Amino acid sequence: MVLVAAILGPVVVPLIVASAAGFEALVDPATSPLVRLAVYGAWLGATGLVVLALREPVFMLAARPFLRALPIARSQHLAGDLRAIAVSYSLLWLPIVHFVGRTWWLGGDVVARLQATAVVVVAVLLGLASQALALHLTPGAVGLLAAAAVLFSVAPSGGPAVMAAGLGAALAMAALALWRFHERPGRSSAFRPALARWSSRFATATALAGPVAWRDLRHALGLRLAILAACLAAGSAMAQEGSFCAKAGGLYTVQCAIAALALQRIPALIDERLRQSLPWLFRLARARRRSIACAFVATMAMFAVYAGAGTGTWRELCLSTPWARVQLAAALVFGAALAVLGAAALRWNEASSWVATACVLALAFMLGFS
Amino acid sequence: MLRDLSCAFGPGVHLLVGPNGSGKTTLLNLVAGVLAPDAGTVSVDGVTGAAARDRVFLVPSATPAIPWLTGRACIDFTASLFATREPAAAVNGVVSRLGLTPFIDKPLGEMSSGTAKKVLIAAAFASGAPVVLFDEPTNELDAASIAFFLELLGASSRTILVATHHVEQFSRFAADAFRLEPAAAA
Repeated sequence: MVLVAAILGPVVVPLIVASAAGFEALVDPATSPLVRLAVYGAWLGATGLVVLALREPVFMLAARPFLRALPIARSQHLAGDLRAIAVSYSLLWLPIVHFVGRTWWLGGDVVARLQATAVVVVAVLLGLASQALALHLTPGAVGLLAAAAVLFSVAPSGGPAVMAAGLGAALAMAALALWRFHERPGRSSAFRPALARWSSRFATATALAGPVAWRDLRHALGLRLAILAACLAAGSAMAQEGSFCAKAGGLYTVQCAIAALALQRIPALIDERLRQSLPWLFRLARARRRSIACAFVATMAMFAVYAGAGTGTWRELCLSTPWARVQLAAALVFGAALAVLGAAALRWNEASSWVATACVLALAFMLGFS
Repeated sequence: MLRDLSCAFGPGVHLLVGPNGSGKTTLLNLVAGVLAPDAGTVSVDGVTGAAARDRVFLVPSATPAIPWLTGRACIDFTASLFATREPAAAVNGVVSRLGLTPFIDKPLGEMSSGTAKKVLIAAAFASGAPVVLFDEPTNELDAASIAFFLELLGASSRTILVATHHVEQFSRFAADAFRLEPAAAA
């Protein structure tokens, strides 16, 4: 228990503090609608990442077609999705409980406390609705959810009546989106021969690695790219702050280490998927060699772009940094580590994750903190 | 699944027959290298392992589990893996004779199972692989396509193994049938 608390403590406490500050801004009538929208977007993004990472158990993707064929009411499917998404939030419920509990614990005007609670509850409900529609995102659903988000961000700036009406309308829009678009059969997309020919060429040129990444693994890749984007954003924020410039080399090393860890399994994921889907074709050494080579090139290109963007940010914002050589070394070392770990993951799928984590942490420690 | 089995096949068409569960698909998967034998060896043209696998093309009985793959990409990619691939004009002729031309740019998931099977047959022809294995190739095919498929088989000089329950469709090759008995399967 002590060990679990020691590991989770540093993660959970900043999460609660940061989220509580966000919720304070959300319920404050003086907050501008734009800031409120940004806070809501951040909440949606944080919970969305969790749902994305747990998409298979949350949405039961493999069993979904079978479940849809059963004589179960749509409302039951929807309730199941909402329950599963809510459960997947896990630790993210802590900041909400903390904020609502503190609001009622501190006392004060009952109407203000009710308003604050209502704003947070509506934000959570809108987020749940948006994520329940993630598999059914049509332009209509996106439009309704966007309109609900705008209404939600404007409503708390008005008086109690305006707020109640605005929040009620936002919830009604989200409910309409769920009723109209959740589990409704989609139309088959129009067949476009020119596009199909280009897609065939792309598939052949990349030995099917390109389309399999886009069609079957985009969630896994999206999650990794989101981690990279978050790392770049965090680095940029720290560089802008200024006082971190003295540690630019170490922080950039950590950024590279996280990217190497996030990207190292991409070639293995693509290879696994192709071998599972087309065992009769990807038993051929030539087919595997070509698809793995394409996956490696794409992964290394992603790392190169990421490393370049990270270096650019630190150099631009911390002009006097003496860490240029360390940054180059970090990019080269973790680029090489990414290639080695990617190759290891192809051979030792399960064990490689642990080995990769240990190696990258050791490298990050040696380069970044020595 | 298969025990004490020893067999050799030369150029020509060979039928693989036997009741359900007798190991026809398992034998094809062993020859293609999709499955590895627990004991014994599989050799193709005197070589084993990856070199043997690279000379074999397997047409499975099920539609590929990648519904987004277009017929053209399936045929082109397959052909690109073999140095022995057939010229594009000959492949287009087969595609046309199989009635695939209107569907060739559609994803396999949007094709009927018979059309998807024809794509795999065209891919097998396009590969020019010296050894081709067909698992229940005529299950979903219409009569005209079956006739053309038999014509293709008859004109080929490769080593071809066909696992089938429809021996009557392959009567011209029945003399070369290899029967797997359940006794050979454990």
